[in-house]
Amino acid sequence: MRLLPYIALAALLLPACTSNRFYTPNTMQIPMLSEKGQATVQVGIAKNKHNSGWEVQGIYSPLPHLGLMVNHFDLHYSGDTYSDFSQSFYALEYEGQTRLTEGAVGGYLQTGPQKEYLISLFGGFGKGRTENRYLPQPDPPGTETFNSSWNYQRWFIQPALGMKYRRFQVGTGLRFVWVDYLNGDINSRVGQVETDRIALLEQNSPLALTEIAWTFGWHFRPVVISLNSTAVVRGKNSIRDLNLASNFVSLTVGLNLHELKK
Amino acid sequence: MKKLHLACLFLGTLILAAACKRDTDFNYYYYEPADFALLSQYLNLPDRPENYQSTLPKHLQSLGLAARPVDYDKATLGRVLFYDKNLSKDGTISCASCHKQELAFSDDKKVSAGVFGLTGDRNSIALGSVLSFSAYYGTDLFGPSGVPFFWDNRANTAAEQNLASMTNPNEMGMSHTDIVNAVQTQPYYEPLFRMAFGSNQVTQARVSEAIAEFVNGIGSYKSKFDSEAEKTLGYNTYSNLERNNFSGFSAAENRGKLIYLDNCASCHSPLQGRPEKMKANNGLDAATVDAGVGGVTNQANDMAQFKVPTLRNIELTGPYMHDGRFATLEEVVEHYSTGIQNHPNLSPELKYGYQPKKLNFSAQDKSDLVAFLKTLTDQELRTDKRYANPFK
Ligand code: HEC
Ligand code: HEC
Repeated sequence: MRLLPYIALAALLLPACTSNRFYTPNTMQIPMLSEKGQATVQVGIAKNKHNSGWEVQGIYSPLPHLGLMVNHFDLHYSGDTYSDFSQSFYALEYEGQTRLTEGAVGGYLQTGPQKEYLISLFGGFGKGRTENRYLPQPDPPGTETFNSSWNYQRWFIQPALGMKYRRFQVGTGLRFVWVDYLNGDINSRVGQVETDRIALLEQNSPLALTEIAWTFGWHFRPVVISLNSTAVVRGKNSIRDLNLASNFVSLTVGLNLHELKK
Repeated sequence: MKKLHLACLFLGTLILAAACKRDTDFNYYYYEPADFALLSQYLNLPDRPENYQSTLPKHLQSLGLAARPVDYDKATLGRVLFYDKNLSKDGTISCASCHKQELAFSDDKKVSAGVFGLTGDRNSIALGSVLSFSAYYGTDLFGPSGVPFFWDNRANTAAEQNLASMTNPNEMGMSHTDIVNAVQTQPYYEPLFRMAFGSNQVTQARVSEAIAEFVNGIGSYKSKFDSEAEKTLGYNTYSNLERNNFSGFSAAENRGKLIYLDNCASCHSPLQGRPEKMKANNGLDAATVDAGVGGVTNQANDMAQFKVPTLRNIELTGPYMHDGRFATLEEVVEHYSTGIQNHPNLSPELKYGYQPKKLNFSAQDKSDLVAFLKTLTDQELRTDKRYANPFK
């Protein structure tokens, strides 16, 4: 258990995503609600070579077994890929930003011999926007930046299981998401290869993806510090080329508001 | 219970809403909308550049010919420059004035009129062959082994060539600064240069490079001859299969082909690829009138030697020879049949010993040969919209 913080650090340094410019999952919030009136706000950061993002997430139970959830996600990223122009291929660097705000409603249940298991099922909806900038070519020197941007909305259903044990708070969950790309503006000067990839997104929208998440937290009343990972595990075959399988790791600091009062 | 209902209701609407799929609507643009609006005021350009890359038929590939990679943005800019009359001293002449698409980029005048009605003394050369020779054709890809430009082979690259045309006082009459100024004053060049070169800086070298890119992108390889040759030979260009009858040819065309292979191919090449010789004298005059290659090299044995021109689209590119002396293909064939003059530099292919050959074609031979030459016409080239005048 002593090793955990180091494992956590190592996980943070993992290259997070391959195709972050098309879709990056936000941290899946795994509810740790057990009774009415509980509320938690958490702030997360994710930082590695290609990604730098922050998140705010909140959850609240207004009634027994009923929970409300909000998530906001803001990620800046960069990366490189390749595209082609006039029949020749070239390496392509990009940077971009995606923002997503979503809300969800769901139910939860406390169970287990010591009531240590927290089962929940939430469904939610959110809207987001992605803006990508492909950087000028170093060789031959270019000055042009090609932009592409789109709005999207996302539906999700997430069954999750949480467990509280002494100071530890662990959880895992599945999230079934439908990423629905709405309107976008794509500068096709970025080359046919990259334009085709984007067209693939468009053709396959809404993308049905399955994500798996886990969280590992330390609870020091009223604060919870957690390490989280959310990864896309499966997409349709037709979008395999997009290389969407990405793993998003974040570190969050949460505040259990209900523990403040006491 | 109430909350359970609430949750169910919410989930239900969620699933319903997810089911009614909203159509994704991505708008793909190539030119920034403001740029395209500006371009569209003056030009009929497609909303993304045309594909100027060619795939040569198998028999030409087998000869080692390959289409050079073309940068579509540069070719698009080059196309506009090619048709732009602002690039001439008196604003009346563009490259296309003397290289007309419907005539396979040649001119039907003996000598073409340039600025202020001036004329040079040579006949315009058709451009449709450029691409088919491009592996060698004046590109730096293959260095000095390239097929040079002009009747006297005086230009080594397409860029050098078009600069010569722009600055020739009898053609476009511009100085280097005139060229840059003329381009800078036209608003549509700003976005086109930015697209082609990544910055809108106009230089004479960039103008030449863009025009060269367009000219190098003009490929003529879709004649009846090409489709028949590809069918009959494929990649096998080593077994004299071209002597076999082409199934899609008429009897006259097939007979004409044999006459051509026996008498003309040693210079003009059997498969209309790269010419067999870079220069030759085909006996137009007994004495030197136009020094041709000799005027450039000052070598006695180059006097009155000329580029061996492509015969692609020859039906369309009359009048013929460097001075446009023959109006019809029949006259050309008559020349080779009976008119070859004994110039001191007359090429050996057209000699018996020390005397000029008299090929003495029969009337049938002549009409067969002409019928064959007409199979070299590429109708698609004449109307290909990628090469058409873009100005409104
Ligand atoms: C006034 C008429 C005229 C104009 C304008 C003109 N040309 Fe030409 N072009 C000719 C003539 C005549 C020749 C042959 C000249 C010679 O060989 O000395 C020629 C030769 C060429 C050749 C050589 C082809 C070969 O196979 O050797 C190319 C390429 C060419 N022109 C392209 C252009 C371009 C590009 C422009 C515009 C920048 C242009 N021309 C403008 C008349 C013209
Ligand atoms: C010795 C090499 C040689 C042979 C053999 C030869 N030609 Fe030519 N041909 C030339 C040269 C060189 C020119 C250009 C001469 C000039 O304009 O001064 C030319 C020009 C032509 C032209 C005019 C092209 C134009 O664009 O104006 C035609 C048509 C032509 N030849 C057809 C033939 C035919 C048909 C034969 C066979 C009967 C033949 N040639 C045999 C070297 C040859």
